[in-house]
Amino acid sequence: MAPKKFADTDVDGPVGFNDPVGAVHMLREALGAAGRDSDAEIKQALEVLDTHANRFIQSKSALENQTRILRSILDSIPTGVMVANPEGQYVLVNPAAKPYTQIVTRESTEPSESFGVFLPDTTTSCPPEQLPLARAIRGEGVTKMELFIRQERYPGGRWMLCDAVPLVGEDGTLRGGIAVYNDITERKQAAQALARRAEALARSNQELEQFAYVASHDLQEPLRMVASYVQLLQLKYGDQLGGDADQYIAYAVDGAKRMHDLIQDLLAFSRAGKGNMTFVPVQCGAVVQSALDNLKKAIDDCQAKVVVGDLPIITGDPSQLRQLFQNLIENAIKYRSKAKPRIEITSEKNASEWTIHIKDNGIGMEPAYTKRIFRIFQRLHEDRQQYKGSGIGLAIAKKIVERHGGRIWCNAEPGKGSTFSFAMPTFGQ
Amino acid sequence: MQAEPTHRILLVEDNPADAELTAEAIQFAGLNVALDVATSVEQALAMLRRTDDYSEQPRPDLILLDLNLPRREGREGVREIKSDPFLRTIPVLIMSSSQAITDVRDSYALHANGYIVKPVDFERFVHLLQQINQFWFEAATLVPNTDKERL
Repeated sequence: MAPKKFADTDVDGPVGFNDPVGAVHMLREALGAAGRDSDAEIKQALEVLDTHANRFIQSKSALENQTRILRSILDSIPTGVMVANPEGQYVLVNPAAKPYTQIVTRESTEPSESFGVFLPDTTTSCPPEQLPLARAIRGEGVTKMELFIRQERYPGGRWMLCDAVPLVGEDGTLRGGIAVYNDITERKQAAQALARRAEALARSNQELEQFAYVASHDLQEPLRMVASYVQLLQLKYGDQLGGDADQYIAYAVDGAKRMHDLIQDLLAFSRAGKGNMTFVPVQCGAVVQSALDNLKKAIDDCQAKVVVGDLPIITGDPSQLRQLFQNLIENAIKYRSKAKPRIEITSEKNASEWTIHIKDNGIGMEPAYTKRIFRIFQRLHEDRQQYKGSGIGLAIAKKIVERHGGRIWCNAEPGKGSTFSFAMPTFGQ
Repeated sequence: MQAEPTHRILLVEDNPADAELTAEAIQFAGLNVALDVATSVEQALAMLRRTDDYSEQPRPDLILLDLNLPRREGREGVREIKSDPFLRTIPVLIMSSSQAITDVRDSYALHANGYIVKPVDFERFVHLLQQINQFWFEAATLVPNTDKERL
């Protein structure tokens, strides 16, 4: 085959100068044919050319490889990426940006009323000069700009979070801009749904609170009338009634009073852990002391011994924590056995929690009951004379612990006492 | 036969059963006081200001006011009485079945002279009226009631 002549090659064609190694080869052949390839300087020059040509091929293939990688990244990411030259013409639009071609086109062409891109109020059209890419082309950076897009394609609208940067050449000249669109519609909708639910919850909580207040108050009035008038009946006409009257009246009054206590407790429960909770470091030792002071009479009456170990500082609301300890200690005293009551308060720490134990030597209970006792108005004992109260103390304790992000539980056996424990997050302390 | 009443109480209470209970409790407490009952704040103010049919109405030494009258009237009643220079020297005790701290705070903020939770138990109610009598009519010194001769 006759050697290819330089004159035959097409610079833009598929062979020839497209392949610098081939071109050097052709040059060497041509020089050889002309008998000039024995010249040492020409030989050296051809070798240098060869090296450069090979390096060019290598970097070209590396570049192609790099481009392929970037291309497949751009093709696969859900983020819309578009690049424009300083004239506002698109240099690159990745597939994720394709759905917004209308915007894309609009961005580079004339603005119109039916633009479909709105500011976050969703009603004000975004002025074209404020679009991220338009700003980037002018040399402005754009960070986390929210846009709302509503077009035929998206009747419900889509939320976009946009970033844009100017494209600057090595010499510092503006070469265009890059805009990045992230569809955050789902995130936005989820946040809105969450906000709506929080609002509904707050409303229902408020209604519940109002209900508790109104019900308890409006229930008190008739109850008071029943109890008081029955007593009045006895005081004024007791001697005219039959022999059983005293007993009946006592039952009626007792029932009314018990209902009164239940309502008060219900109110106390609905209020517990409500309102403005302050989260501050609380010395449990001091809080326990204050609870013990409040329970002094009950403790003295049964000569209970309360042993308080080393207690931590935990983060919480001081008055609620005082109430928590008070309810648990009170419970331990109330359900004492024949033995002299002994209550031990200890603590232990693991990686993320402080656990506090309140151990008593009281009557204990069947393990099967240890969950149920935390429910509102749950009582295990029918003997109301011995065990007074409606059974709200532990329900309130549970509510307080849970409001602090903790857990409460009980280990017990009949006749062997009970241990109430609660674990509270340490919050890094 | 009871002696002439030494003091006069105005009870503002919309529930007739409650008003009668108070009257009974005053009797059982053995208090020597006269009791007037207004069933609304409007009527109470008319009595206190001696307007309409109440030109002869004697001035009370103490006002017992039910906080939970309809339409938040209880609060309005305290506000009205305590902003009237002629009436504000009469002690006002709020009677309520609510123990809510907001009710207590609101009442004192409106310058009520006391907040009392109505007891469920009649005997405790009787005792409470004795305590009110002891404090306001025996221990405390009140602004002299210029209407004393009317009693």
